[in-house]
Amino acid sequence: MLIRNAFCYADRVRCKYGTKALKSAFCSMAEQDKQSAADFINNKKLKFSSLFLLIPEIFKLSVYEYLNQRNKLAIKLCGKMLKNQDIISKSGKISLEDEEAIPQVLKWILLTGAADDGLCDDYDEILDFTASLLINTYHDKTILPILANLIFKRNRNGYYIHDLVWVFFHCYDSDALKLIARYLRSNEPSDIKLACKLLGLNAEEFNVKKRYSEYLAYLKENEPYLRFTGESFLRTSRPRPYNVDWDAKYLCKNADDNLAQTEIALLDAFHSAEDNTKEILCRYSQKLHRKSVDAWKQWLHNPIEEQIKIAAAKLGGRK
Amino acid sequence: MILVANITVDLAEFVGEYAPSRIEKNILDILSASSHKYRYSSSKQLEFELALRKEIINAAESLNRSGMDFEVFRKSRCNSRYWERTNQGGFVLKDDAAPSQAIQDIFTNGFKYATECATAMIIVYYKALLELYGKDLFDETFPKIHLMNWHHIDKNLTEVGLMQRETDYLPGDRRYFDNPDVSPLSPEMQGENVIDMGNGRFYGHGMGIQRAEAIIRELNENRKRNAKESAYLLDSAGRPDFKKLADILYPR
Repeated sequence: MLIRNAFCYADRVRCKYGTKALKSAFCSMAEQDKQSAADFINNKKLKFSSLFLLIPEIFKLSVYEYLNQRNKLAIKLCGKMLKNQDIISKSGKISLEDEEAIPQVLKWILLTGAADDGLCDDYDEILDFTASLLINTYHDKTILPILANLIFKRNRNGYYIHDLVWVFFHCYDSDALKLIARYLRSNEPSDIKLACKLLGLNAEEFNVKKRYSEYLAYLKENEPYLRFTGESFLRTSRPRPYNVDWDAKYLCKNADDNLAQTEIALLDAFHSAEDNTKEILCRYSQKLHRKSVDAWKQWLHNPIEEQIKIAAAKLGGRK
Repeated sequence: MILVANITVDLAEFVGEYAPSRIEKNILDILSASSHKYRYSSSKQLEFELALRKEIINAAESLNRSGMDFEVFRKSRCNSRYWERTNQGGFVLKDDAAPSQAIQDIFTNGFKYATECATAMIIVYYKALLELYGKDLFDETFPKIHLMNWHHIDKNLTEVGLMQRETDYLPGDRRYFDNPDVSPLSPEMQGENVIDMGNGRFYGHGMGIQRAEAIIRELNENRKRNAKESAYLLDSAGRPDFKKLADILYPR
């Protein structure tokens, strides 16, 4: 059932009677009065999908000039994203005044347009580009929940997700991992499979009942030391969008910061250890640091062999 | 260093018997001069790796000449006689099509196809194996093919989808140029998958056969405004499991 207040008249026509009826209503109005036709879609509550579907009619019936700035700019952006010369030439250049409104209009496109994902390839491509601009150019991370939802919805329906996944992890924010982790609790097997793939987890090894809480515990332990790699589906079949910076975890500080000579010496010794030993050292270091900074400093003061011995004994040999 | 059955290979002797092509000799020289020990259980296994690397390069050259277009997945195209285009933009072999004919068709009727650079790499591997296995063994080994970048890869080729740092980089390796500051509106230029053609040249679908500097220049032209980082060649490579593939041709 449609909630009347959430939809403007144009959207109600589209949702209730379909695209053909929307176009027909728009054309009838435009033939009589272009301003009325423009008002029909200039409504504040209009969904982007209705505007997108009417782009050919807007130009054909010369309604473009009567549109408000949001709609004009959205159409200009569509032309640019789709590299559609016809739309670009008819809609004109993006002005200085437009530039300021871009983030707001992009957000309107995504917030009101995401529900109609799957309308057609061009439409889905616009949503991908919109997400890319919002994340990469305007650093708007508030859209991450919408993107996560789109990724999993498309995956369930067998549609293309690789560009959207690339954009999603380009936020370089651990909140992205938390959003994906929620799908570990899904009842849908394809959601769990994809969540495991994106988080770098082995779906078969993971305890079904505990997988979500186990992952959150892992994230809690490693969050300060996570590094985003930029790996994507274009590069490899098993991208690891993030990893744990072991140097940072071992020193319990950002290893990119200026390091003291003693810290450099500590890292030199740390690097000589085997990978599984490094992991034990990191885990113990972080655990001890949280418990007592003094005790941690004392432990770190030991030669590496002694550090390993203590860490392995305290962790019970667990990796 | 090359070891066959735990014995160091005498390069001059091996070259005298095997008569490698120019590119194979180049590969042999790198393997032989390396500090890494390249181990093979038989001469046949070593010969297979040399031959497959050579065919990968030949297939890359042929694909470059085939007329296949560059397109993103949403706009990919294929010859519907052999392939079904999926909703994701990949190509699935039709039930009634012979795998060998379908792969060959990409090279014969390239103008009917359009895809992006990672899928082109997989096509190169299939064509190279078709040349070495011949039609019958190829059809038997790869009865179902799904072409879509590094996904849905056949179990005999899974390793090509993974990249790792190697001691030596060899002609026939799959490499990757990363473009960290790519424009948000050109995700397809976030990087370029390439085949190392030897002599400092690389084949990338959509870019042709170029030197590293030319590929980097083209990627850099597609960066965001005020970009700081240049595109660069990653210190890693993707390789098929040559031994597993050799065992298919020469079952033990």
